[in-house]
Amino acid sequence: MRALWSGLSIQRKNSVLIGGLVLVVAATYSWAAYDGMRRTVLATAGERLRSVTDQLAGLLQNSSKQLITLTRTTAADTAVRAFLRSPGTRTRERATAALQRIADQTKQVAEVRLWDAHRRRVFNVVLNGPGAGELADTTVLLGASGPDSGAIGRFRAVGDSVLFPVAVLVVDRGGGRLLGYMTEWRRVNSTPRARDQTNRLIGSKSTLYMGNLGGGVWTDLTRAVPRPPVDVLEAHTLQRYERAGVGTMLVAASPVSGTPWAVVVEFPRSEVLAPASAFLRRLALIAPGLLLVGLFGAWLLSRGITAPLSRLTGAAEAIAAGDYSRRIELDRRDELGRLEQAFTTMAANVREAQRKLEDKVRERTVELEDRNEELEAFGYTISHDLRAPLRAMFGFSQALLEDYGDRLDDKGREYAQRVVTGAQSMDQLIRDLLAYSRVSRAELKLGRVDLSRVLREATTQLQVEVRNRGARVRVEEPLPAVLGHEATLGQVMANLLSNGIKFVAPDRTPELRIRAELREGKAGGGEAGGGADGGWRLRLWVEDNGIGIATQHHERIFRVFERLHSTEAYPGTGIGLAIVRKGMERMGGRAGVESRPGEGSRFWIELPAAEQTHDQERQYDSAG
Amino acid sequence: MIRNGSTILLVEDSPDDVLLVRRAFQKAGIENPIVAVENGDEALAYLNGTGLYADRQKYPLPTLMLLDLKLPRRSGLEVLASVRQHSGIKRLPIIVLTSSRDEDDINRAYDLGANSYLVKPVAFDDLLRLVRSLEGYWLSLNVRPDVSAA
Repeated sequence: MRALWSGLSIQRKNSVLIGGLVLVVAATYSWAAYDGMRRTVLATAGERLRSVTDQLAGLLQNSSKQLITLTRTTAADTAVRAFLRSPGTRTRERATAALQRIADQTKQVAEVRLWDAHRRRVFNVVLNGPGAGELADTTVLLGASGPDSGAIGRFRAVGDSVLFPVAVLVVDRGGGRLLGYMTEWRRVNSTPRARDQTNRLIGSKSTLYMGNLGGGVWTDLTRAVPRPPVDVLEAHTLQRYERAGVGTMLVAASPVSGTPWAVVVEFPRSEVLAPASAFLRRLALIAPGLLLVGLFGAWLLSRGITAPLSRLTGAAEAIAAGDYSRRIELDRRDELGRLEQAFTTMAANVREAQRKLEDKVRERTVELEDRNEELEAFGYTISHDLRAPLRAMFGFSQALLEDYGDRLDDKGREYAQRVVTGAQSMDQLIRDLLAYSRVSRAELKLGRVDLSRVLREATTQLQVEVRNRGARVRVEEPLPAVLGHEATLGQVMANLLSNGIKFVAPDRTPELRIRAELREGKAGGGEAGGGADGGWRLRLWVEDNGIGIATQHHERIFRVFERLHSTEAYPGTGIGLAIVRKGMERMGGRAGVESRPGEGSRFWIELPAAEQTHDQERQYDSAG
Repeated sequence: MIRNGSTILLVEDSPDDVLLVRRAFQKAGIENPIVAVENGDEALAYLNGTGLYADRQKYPLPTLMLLDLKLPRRSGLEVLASVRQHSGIKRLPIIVLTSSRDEDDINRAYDLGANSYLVKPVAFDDLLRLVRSLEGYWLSLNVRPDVSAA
């Protein structure tokens, strides 16, 4: 993720950031607006629901009063009074006929019952549809006691329909004597017209329920329904419940005073929230548009910044690649304009510095070449001019000894002999110096070198010394091939062998052992060693039984002209080991020694091994 | 036409070396006359028979030239080049006898047509050995070409 981000160009990053910002702002704003709208809508709807419910409760209260009045009018009918005053077949028929007339007018009346003053039922007639059957009127009759009063009873379910009783007193004309009671069972059955009116009042999405305050009989004005799962006595707050298949319903309830009823109006919450949802949907359509506009704006803005930046980058890369001719002109006065100016100045400075550096390098190179030529001329002079007088010294002192030796006394001859010896050692010195200088300066082309052959040639070169000291040289064959320069390696080996033979106590026979050891590669110190790092390296040991070297001298002996002994004891120029080290370094190798006085020395040289076969590797592993 | 005799022309600027070479020839018992000149110009004058060396009786064409490389006025290599371009004497056997072991010198000398390249030894005994070998090969065994003044 982090890598993905850092891989993006600044232009893209800016676009993403600004786009993201626009998105967040739009989302936050939309949500706030939607939320506010939702709350308002819900509050309004709740308010309206409650007021509608209250109005309905009031309406129902009024109509219940009207029903009682209506029923009282019926109860005041002469035929009804006559029947209750003197029940008989004749009066019953007349009362039935009178009630039948009422029933024809009001289809809602299902049954009418008449009771005597002792609340004993004396008459009943079923007028429309199924009657109240076995349902008791006891409670409502008690409620109807007292003059001018009537009572409305609880809803009762009869099959699919819901009935309720209206009870009134039947009194004698002119007031006074109680003749009995009358109950009218009315059916809750709204007409299409009534339903239309209700809808207009509460809205088509709402549903109206009526039922008993304390019971389970409820109706939606058409048929019996289960009691809504809300507290119908709680008239002041908006309630809600989940209706299967519809969702959350908002509910307002209100008891209907003067009756044992309650009225409930419910409304689907989704309907209330529909405008808010529509608003949100519109916003959701607008947001991508906003986002696109934001992204485009961000892209334009970023491009204004990054395009000059990428031009600057291109120019910087061109300079890095060595092209100083690239010019950029932004023609701006802002930060980028200043950057461009600074960059142009810097490029000019870099160019100038580069030019100066190149001049200096050229100068130095010429100087160095001059110096080198001088050095070579110096070497040439040494080899040529210095040797001419040497030859004269040598030649004439020898001529003196040969031609006039008989005319010199012993001392004279000794002096002449010392001139000869001096000239000889100077000749050797010059030869060694020239060899050292050659090893230091010559261009060495490295290649595969057969160590055995090099060693054979070196031994041949030294055969006089070997014979003189009776030295034994033991080579543990086979020696592998290495990467090196054959002539230089020959010189190195000759110097090491000559050293090993020379620095042995006069009474001992020099014994040399030469063996190879393969080692895991390590970086060599030489200037040509770069390519061979990490591969196998070959260490060649030259072990002698000589006088040994104290530890503090182990490094010194590899320097030019460093000697540990007088030339009387061990003759030499002190350059041999310096040539060994220099030669090894020039071939990308190393040289060193392990030794203690009196215990012989173990000189070693190390070079990258030429490619090995596995057999050889194993062999040298076990040998080392 | 005067046939070249047995004279050896030694081109050498160092009188010490001239003396030592002469002594070595003498010690080796070689009787060929040795004429020494001390620079390149003189060497060419001798070979061309001009100036001091016009008299061919006195200064006959040499049978062999021993040539040092580092000479005043005209170097040994220049003398070599000049001789090899000269129609009459271009076949003259020329042996470079110098103290230089410089690879450049050696290769250029052979490139310019030197017949042999010898380095002056420091020890007189070695010089004597060298002179003896030289006589045995170049003065006895070697069959000489015809060299004549143009």
